[in-house]
Amino acid sequence: MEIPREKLRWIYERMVLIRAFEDRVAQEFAAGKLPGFVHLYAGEEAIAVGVCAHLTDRDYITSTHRGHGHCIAKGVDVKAMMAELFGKATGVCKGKGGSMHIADVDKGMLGANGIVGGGPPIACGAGLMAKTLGTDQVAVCFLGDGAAEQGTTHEAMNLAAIWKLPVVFVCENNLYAESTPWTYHCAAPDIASRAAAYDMPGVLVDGTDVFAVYEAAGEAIARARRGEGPTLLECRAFRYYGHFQGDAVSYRTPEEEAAYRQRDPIQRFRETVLSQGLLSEDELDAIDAAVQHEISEAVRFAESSPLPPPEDCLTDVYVSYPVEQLAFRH
Amino acid sequence: MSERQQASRAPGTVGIIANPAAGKDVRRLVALASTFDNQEKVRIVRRALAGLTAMGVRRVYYLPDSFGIVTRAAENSRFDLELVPIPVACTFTASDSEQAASWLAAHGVACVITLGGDGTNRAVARGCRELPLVPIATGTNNVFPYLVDGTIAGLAAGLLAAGQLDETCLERRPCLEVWIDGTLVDIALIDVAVSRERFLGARAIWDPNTVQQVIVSRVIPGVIGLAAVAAALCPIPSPTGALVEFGTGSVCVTVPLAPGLVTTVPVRAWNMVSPGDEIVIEQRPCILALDGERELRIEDSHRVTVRLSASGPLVLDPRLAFSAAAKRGCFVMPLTSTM
Amino acid sequence: MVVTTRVLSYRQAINEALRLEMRRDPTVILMGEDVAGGATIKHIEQEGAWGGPLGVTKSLVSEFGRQRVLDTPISEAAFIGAAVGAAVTGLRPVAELMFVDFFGVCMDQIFNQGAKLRYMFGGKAKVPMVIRTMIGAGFGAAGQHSGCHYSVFAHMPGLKAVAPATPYDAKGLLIAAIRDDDPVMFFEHKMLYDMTGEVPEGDYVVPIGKADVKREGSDVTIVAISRMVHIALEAAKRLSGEGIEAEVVDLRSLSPLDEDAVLSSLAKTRRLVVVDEDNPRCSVAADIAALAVDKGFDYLDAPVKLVTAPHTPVPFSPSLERYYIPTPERVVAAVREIV
Ligand SMILES: Cc1ncc(C[n+]2csc(CCOP(=O)(O)OP(=O)(O)O)c2C)c(N)n1
Ligand SMILES: [Mg+2]
Repeated sequence: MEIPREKLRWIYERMVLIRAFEDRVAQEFAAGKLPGFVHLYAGEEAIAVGVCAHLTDRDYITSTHRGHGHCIAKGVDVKAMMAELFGKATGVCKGKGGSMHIADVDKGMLGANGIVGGGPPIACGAGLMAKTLGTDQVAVCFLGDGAAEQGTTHEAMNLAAIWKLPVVFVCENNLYAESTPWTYHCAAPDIASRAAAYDMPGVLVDGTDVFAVYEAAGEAIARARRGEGPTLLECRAFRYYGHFQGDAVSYRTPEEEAAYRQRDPIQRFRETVLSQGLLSEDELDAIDAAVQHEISEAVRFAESSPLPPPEDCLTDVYVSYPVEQLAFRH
Repeated sequence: MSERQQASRAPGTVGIIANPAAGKDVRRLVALASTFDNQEKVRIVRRALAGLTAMGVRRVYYLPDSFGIVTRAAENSRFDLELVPIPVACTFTASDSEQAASWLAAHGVACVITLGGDGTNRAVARGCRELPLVPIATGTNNVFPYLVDGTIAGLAAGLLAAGQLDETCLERRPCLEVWIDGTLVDIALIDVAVSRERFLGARAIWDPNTVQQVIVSRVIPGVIGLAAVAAALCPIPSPTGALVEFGTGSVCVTVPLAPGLVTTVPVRAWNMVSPGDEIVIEQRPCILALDGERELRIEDSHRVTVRLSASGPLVLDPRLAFSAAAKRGCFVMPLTSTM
Repeated sequence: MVVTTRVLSYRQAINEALRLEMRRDPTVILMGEDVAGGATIKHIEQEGAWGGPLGVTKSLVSEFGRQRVLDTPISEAAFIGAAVGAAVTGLRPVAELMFVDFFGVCMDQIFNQGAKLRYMFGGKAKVPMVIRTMIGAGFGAAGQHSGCHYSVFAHMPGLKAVAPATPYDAKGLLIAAIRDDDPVMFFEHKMLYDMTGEVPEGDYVVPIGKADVKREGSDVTIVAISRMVHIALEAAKRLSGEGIEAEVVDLRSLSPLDEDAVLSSLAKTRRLVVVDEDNPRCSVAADIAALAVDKGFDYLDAPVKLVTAPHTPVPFSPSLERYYIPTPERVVAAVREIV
């Protein structure tokens, strides 16, 4: 596996951008500046980035409630994302979606999702489009370990398999669904093996190693593009924050957290490329600095942007509809 | 007093190390390997426990894993067995298997049943010293372990634990030692591949063009993986190893590099390797794949040698065990009036 | 008998109702995602377990154990359907659908199975179950976690639906719902959990199908549901300053509907405003208006006014969400139009 230098830089930049974005969002949330629920992706960066490294803007992804990382890896503008989280008119969804429904179809990002298991069928639809129109686009469906228990996930995997759709299911197994450990919610805690039931390859991947994810995802996506059908990748990783901001994380032990933090994806990337002399320390530090700057700029942009005018509540419900019937009755 | 003798003073205990991650790597995608689901491993262990109890084993030490293979195997079954978790701090990586094996070796169990492929057994072999392995194949590449039913493995291990078998049932396997700057850093049981890859990535090796040379610990016909190249070149099973240089020059061989992946591999040269021989690895950049998995990133300044050792792990051969036990009449009982 | 009351939050009142009914009736069980929390994790078995994402069922697992407080996988169709099956066969399950917006995932089990079984079986079965679920905007939880949607359920024959607005009603209605022999949808407004009020100790029932006059008045009837009762009361206070006395009727039950309560208040005030946070099309609010026109036409001195959410999903941004949720100002304006 060769990874061009530029791609390596991109991988690093995206991973630290996700980390910095999430750390900053945690701060802003704690300061009471962000409404609603926020689910952070820190610790799982290698998965989104390792997978999306093989996608173009024409390819599609579906995401989850923990969707900021997928957005960033798919190239969604960070300023517009931050503004969205602040509920501003300049947000990528004009302030209508927020953290849990953040999306940018222009970038092939079909939305974070407030419904666990909402994404897999949608990904099948995007795959069906590509297959029907004979394009080489693929759809990647990110889902959590918890989502693996949702009926829609199973139905979608079966559908993708019988129609040989260009879909890659990427199960981000971070060992918990909210406070419930996957060893409880999963009868046979072995998600990769479920692929066998749907006649597709199922692979277990170290989701804290971006090179492992990159290589396995590259193969799965190439297979999908060749028209050979879907794949299930189970990527194991760890979320650093609580399930949502405000979760005291009583269900995890400090030892468990410490063990996982030893395998930090960004740290591991740095060690690999430095020991191989592929990128220099100065280069990486410069990326870190640029990312910090980008995040500060994004927050500044978000804070100084206006809230949407209240009547915007009534736009975008339909493509066409009598406006007077959208508003209040009296 | 040797550790083997110590073990025989504590009859009736056996270890089990079952790797929940075995049989699920990228070769499902880049080749046609089957996924080895963990529920099947549970059933195999359950049958092994049946075999062990039948031979009188009453205590089994096991490596606790994220799936709970061994505890699930014992659930709902009325095995008259004490199951004791091996006290290792689980990191859910290969080092757990190594730690568990060395704990078992230090605590005088008779043998350890392993579930996994070559990679799992490599990890166990790193820790097990003179403790015999009873390896059941549940991996992707299974050159080292036996394709044997859990019942048979359990019975064989039970016979050994019960003191019914002697050393003739044990086979001493070779191994390849990897030395970096004069320190033994790792071993391989089957093969060491020198890869031009820069990244450990998805670990497995399936593209022969990335390989510069392969050293095998033993030439074994009918195997899958990089070791198949040596077997294709040197038809006679021999107690010696081999060194194969990949690249155009001499011949091409058709080999199964992974399950379902039959490829042509260009070979420049090959040689036999004898125990004690050392091969200096010159290739840079270089990654060493041990038993088919990219494991070690080699830095430019390192001096790396691979040495063939005749004294790798001890393995209990179930067939030899059964024929020895039958000779001793282990399975035969006098007719009693209760029948 | 002296009944002591104390001040409890809406959240505590719900928790207490569950606790009392579980003590009284061993067939009452709870199930839902994280309703106990941290299943199988030993160190939080007694304390620290979530008790639902907003802590509504906190510590019930310590008293009743995991046999009766069941954490479920994220499989709403399976566990809500299991509640139906358990109810038909003898338990009184209380299932939690974390947010009502998730009903899409499990609607078949609710409306084709739970709601229709009794009828289709010719009355030979009953389905005594409760689905507790969170509703409402105001939290910034956006499109898929903020809806009310109770109108959908009130529309369906076979289901009962209640939506308490105060801690007192929450406790009494939940006890009634659990004791009811039909499937009851129990809607909890997430913005009310921290609201406090007087709640008697011990068990008592607020009958399903009975509205409650939360404020008496003579000039206009304001019928409101759930959190909107408080919006209506605030509007009534302001109107009172202008010399308009509004009567606020808290519907409490959406199905069955307390038609008499609405009509008798209407008979008194001759004017009707309905305040509802749900979307207006085919809604409970529209149903009340239809009731007034159908059975109370002769009382009406003015058109019926509806103050509802717009016909849109719930937006995220605070500025948009404020626009979405009916306000006292809008209620006051609606009243002024007809008084
Ligand atoms: C249909 C549905 N049920 C329940 C929820 C509430 N919920 C949100 S996230 C979550 C846990 C998801 O776990 P997992 O899929 O493992 O993703 P993770 O949060 O670990 O990334 C739950 C239960 C939901 N949003 N949608
Ligand atoms: Mg999870």
